[in-house]
Amino acid sequence: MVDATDKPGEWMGQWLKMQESLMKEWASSLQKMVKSSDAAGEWTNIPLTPGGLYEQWAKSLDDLAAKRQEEGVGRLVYDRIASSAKVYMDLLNFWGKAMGTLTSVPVGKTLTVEELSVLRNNWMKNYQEFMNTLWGSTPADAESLAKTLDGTTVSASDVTWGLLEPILKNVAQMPDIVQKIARGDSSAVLDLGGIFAKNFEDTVGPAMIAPSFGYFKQLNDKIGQTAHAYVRFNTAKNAFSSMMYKTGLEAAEKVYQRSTEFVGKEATPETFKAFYRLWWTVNEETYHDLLSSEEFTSMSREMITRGLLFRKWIDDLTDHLLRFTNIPGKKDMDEIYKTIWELRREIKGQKRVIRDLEKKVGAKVRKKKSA
Amino acid sequence: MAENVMETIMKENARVQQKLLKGFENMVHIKDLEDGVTPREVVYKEDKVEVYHFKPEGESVCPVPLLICYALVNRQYMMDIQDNLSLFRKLIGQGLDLYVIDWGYPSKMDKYQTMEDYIDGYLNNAVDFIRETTGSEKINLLGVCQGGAFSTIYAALYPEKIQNLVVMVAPIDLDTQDGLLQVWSKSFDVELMVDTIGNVPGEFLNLGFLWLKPFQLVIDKYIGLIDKLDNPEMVKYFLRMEKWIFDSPDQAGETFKKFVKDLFQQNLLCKGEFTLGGRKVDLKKITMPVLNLFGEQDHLVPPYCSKPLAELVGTKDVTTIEYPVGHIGMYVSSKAQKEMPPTVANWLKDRCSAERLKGPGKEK
Repeated sequence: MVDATDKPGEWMGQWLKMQESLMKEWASSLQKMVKSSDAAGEWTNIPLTPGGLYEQWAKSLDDLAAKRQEEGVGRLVYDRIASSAKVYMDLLNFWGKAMGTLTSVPVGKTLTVEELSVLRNNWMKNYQEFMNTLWGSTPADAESLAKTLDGTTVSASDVTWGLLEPILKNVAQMPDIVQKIARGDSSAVLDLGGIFAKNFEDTVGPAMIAPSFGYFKQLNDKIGQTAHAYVRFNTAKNAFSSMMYKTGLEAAEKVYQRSTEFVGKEATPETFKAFYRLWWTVNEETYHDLLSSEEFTSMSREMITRGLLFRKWIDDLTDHLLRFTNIPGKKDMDEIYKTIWELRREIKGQKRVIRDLEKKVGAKVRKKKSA
Repeated sequence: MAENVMETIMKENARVQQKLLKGFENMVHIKDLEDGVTPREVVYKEDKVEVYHFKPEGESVCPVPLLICYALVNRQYMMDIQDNLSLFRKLIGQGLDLYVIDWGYPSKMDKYQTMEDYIDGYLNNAVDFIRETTGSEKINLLGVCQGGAFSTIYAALYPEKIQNLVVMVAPIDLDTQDGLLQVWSKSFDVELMVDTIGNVPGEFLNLGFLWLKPFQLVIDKYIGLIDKLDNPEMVKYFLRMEKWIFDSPDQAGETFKKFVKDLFQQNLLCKGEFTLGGRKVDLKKITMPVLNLFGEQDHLVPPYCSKPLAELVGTKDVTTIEYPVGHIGMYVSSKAQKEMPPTVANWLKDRCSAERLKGPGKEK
């Protein structure tokens, strides 16, 4: 039997039918909810939000692509577009809620301070929900930076990282403890030490604890330094993320202030597009101010430096552990790379000399022949 | 009102999904795209570096060959991105004998590669190769972006080999607090970075470029495309651009360190204190004609970084042209595509007549 997905016309047709029924189901649920609702803004509590629907839709498309084993530049870029579209849909959802709130205010009525405060708080609460999507959807977010800083190992192969991973990355309790430490809970430092020791014992510890070699103290020190560097990196990363999030809230406040431009306007796709433009340009300006500030420069420098120092300790620890194996460490590889580079330079220099000599000899031979 | 909102949401939702579906159909089957569209021949190879030759079309207007030295950041095929948007094709169409350096992708093994290796080594060897094979004693050199800075340094060190120097969006004067890249690069510890991770990952640089305009480049650019997803030609162009933007080779550690420390952090080239391989690079030794091209709206290399070259070089024959475009627009905007190739070709032609000099290749 031939799989329907092998024939583009058939799979697309079936898939479209499925989408159509999904869309109808969504529309009818939404209408029922709106009819049964008394308050103008209540419909926004419907679980089938545009974002949710889009997510479901995108997932089915994703599954289809996975089934068809679509990979490559087209798929990659499509995913970026789909990811941005998710932000767009969630903003659409937020806009719906915001419009609902705005229309609940009778035209011409002067609001009291309390009413204004409730309005603003609702707005900000909804916006923060949206922000969670935004932060999780940006394709080029801090994740890639973190990957650059602590996800790769220069010194050695995946095997080495595999050795360290159980200790340094798979400590499930680590993030909680780090947070406690960041809050100033000194007892958490002890927890960290305990968990570290336990994981160490459970994984590579037995192989590495060899007091008779006299290396135990040194290894312990390096593990301690690495853990310390990890905590400091995480603290810097959290501070950096807080700054970015805080700026997002500042932008939200600015968008809120300007959202009065939309009071009394019809809720049309064009109005939403205008709101979308307002939203991204205000964010762009607000973040540009942050990115140009001394605060950003110093906090990003702190985070990158801490990340690099953490990485340095990982490399150092890895090198130490690898001394007991046949696998070369960072220092060994650096020595090899440097030797290759020096040899390459030397060979190129010699080639140049040989070429110049050949030219001179050739010229002499030609001269002799012509004589 | 609430029903209006709901209707709008449904309509917009349906519209976006429909467009995305079209995009899905038009996009996901494209596995890869070629690195450049104009036929070329690899004529020289050294380690990971290659030199391509693009034969002139029609009558040759300039007897001196032209070598394009692109940046180490990103790849040279931006200038040859598709048939109707190829500066390479347009330059050969103007009758220029074109050579282009492809720096390749440095691996961990190349972490000790210095700027000296690139300029005194690869670039100089490529120039010598072209001089020998064409019999031209001098060549025309066109440096782009970081390659513009490299070419300027090269022309100052080897003026006897360069007939004319053309630079495009070249970062020369970096003593500024205005450009974000310039500010950020001044503050970070490049020494620690290179000592720790060796080569600097291309992703790291890309992140920096995206942060210059985060919402435009990470969200709005893609949302803007949604309406055009049913246009296969537009989709293909967008894919080519995306491929290029994210095709960022890692930077050889030692070279990157020197580039950031000496040029971005201390502005040594502009101050006349930059050294390469123990030699001071004196820009006053650039006595050949210079054509300086840059974009008025360039946010990566703002005009004030490129403009001052005219006052730093030792020639009075300097032509400065500012295009009303951004950094990328210099390669792909219709204005640049239309005006730049004939401008470069005519400028070179005027300065190459009767210049077919006897070169080292003729000794053979």
